[in-house]
Amino acid sequence: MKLDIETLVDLYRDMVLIRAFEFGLEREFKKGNVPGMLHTGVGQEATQAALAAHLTATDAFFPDHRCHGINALAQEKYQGDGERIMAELFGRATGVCSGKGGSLHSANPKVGNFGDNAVEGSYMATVLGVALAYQMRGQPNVACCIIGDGTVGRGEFHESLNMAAIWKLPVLYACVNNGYAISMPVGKGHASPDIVDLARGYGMPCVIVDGNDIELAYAEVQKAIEYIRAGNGPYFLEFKTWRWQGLFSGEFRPPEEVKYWKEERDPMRLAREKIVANSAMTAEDLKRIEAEVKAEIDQWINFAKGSPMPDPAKATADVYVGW
Amino acid sequence: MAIEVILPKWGLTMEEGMVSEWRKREGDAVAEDEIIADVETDKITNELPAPGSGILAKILVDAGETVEVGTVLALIAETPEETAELRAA
Amino acid sequence: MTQTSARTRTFVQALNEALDIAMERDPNVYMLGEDIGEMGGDFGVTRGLWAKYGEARVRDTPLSEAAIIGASVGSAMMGMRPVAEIMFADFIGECYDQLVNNAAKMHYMFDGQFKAPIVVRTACGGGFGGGPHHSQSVEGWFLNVPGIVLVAPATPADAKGLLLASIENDNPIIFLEHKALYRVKGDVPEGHYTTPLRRAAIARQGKDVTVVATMKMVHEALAAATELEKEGIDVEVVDLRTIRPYDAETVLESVRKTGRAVVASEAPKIGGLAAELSATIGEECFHDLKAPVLRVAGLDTPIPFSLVLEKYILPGKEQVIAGICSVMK
Repeated sequence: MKLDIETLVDLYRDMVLIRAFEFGLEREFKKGNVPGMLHTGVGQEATQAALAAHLTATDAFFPDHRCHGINALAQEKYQGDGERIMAELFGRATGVCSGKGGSLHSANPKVGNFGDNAVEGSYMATVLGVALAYQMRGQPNVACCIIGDGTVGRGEFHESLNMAAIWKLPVLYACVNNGYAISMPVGKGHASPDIVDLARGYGMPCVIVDGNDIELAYAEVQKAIEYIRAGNGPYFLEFKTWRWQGLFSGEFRPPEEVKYWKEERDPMRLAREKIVANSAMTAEDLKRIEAEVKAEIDQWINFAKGSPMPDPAKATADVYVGW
Repeated sequence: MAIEVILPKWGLTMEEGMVSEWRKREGDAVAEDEIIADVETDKITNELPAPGSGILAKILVDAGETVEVGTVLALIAETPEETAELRAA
Repeated sequence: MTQTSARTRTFVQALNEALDIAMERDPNVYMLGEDIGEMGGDFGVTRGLWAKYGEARVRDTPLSEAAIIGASVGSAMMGMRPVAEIMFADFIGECYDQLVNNAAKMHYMFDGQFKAPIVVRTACGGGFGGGPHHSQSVEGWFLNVPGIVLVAPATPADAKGLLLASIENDNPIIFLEHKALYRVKGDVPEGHYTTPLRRAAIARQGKDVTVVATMKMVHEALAAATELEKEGIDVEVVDLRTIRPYDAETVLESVRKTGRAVVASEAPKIGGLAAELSATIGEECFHDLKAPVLRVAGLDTPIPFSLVLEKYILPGKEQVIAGICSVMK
């Protein structure tokens, strides 16, 4: 299918935002301005932008640890303050969780962001309950959990798919297969390098998607969400993609693999080529978009750096509800 | 030798039970594994099978009575002579 | 409190009444767990509720404890009031991450934006030859987890009132049901009422020594007290009722009054509730104490199968009596 050019350009802008966000964050992290750990979603922009485009504020998504981008897109789209995701990563009082969550626990129910659980895979069980609530209340919403390939090794993967299947829950499983769980190649860590092979036995539609092709990813997410909203039960999408970030110690993957994904399969490049080939827009026009978005991200970083630190007294608040 | 029908222990914490209904009356012939009573615990209602074949000679625990696990609920006689003996006792 | 008169009920019946009332009053309350539907639960606690409320609200699940608790948490985030049953507390390891990293931290780490008002009912405790995986006291596994609430009733009336209070509370609650108490009978008020969480009860007033206990050990302590009365020792028994966060005030007030404390817990002695209470009493009441605080607890072993072995490692009335006599010296 062919996307209309306006939608494609909007999606490209979202992808640019994700990459600019991650690069900006990485720069600040290296300077020591961002505490904790950093896992970026560079290389996975098409997958994230496609998911963000179809999930509404009344749906729910559980982001994984490389989902700063989707968190920021939802925050910006539904509340107009994406900078609060940035501020959260800087541990500031203006962050979406007032600095209590950070990179691995940014949530905001008002935009459908149900938060990451940094024991990756844990929320594969949680997503069932959100979907169950939709089902029991007759709401045509979708609960989406975004997982990496590594998460598939966890027991919750199987408990979740099984329960979603027997109860026909409205769950979208978005498995972002970027080839590696930290250092473990997917084919070595799982019985099949295609995760759909492990999911298929649970009797839900299982589709492999080129996660670096925004047009294909957008179409497949749309199909899945329409299926779920119609009350047909869960759906499993496996996005084949690749993460640019290596390990803390540096790059560990073969140079030819790195070159292939960063050059030939760069989702940004593939999107740019599609736009230029199918519209009157030029490479210069796209550069202008990139510059605009980058300027916005710089403002977000400045907002985060200029925001106050949380009041230390808040460290003991909200352990219990009402106590 | 008469066969004792006892209240069995069905679960980890079961201590007592109540015969809610005798499905057989004294004098009825019963076959091994035939259901002779319904027993209620605070967890479940279960069917009680006869532990052996013969004549249900004597009911010792009436319906509605709650007794401990292991209590002899009834006696099954294997011969008519035994039946008469048990009923006389 | 809207209760009228009290009737004699078993602990199981009291729990069943609480669930029935909660389901009746609030359509957001639903239950999920293994064999809780038509079968009525392994201990009969949910008996009759499947027939009354239907399978959408009394949901049988596969053997998927992580999914049971995950689904509970997720639906609670949406405003539902799930009551999950984990058949035996020993199985809770299967959903430990869901409880510790998800339910307990949800409200805190997301800065109050989400709540996880779940109740996880589970059968704990030994004494039946259940063996190493059907007999444990798990409260110690959660004592070090901020955000979790541990509720542990000792009487049928408290079982009902505390369960209703737990279902109506906004925090994630592990509701411990000691198997030895399921058949215990007692007066249970009719209708809806709640027993306050985080409030201990004085199960028996006394002036010479305080025994702090929970669940089955409350009954062991009361039996010990009756026996020691003949010896002229007047024992006060504090039933903690909520283990985390616990009512330190009532405990300390009692110990300040009596000057002596025995802490009785069925769980292994090391690192458990008895150790925690003992430390707090020591810190807060040092100058009021006439003798060191004594822990009466399970031996530091797994729970063996044979009843003789099990009886040897679990504390009972005799151990409580010995403990009291030791601090009375």
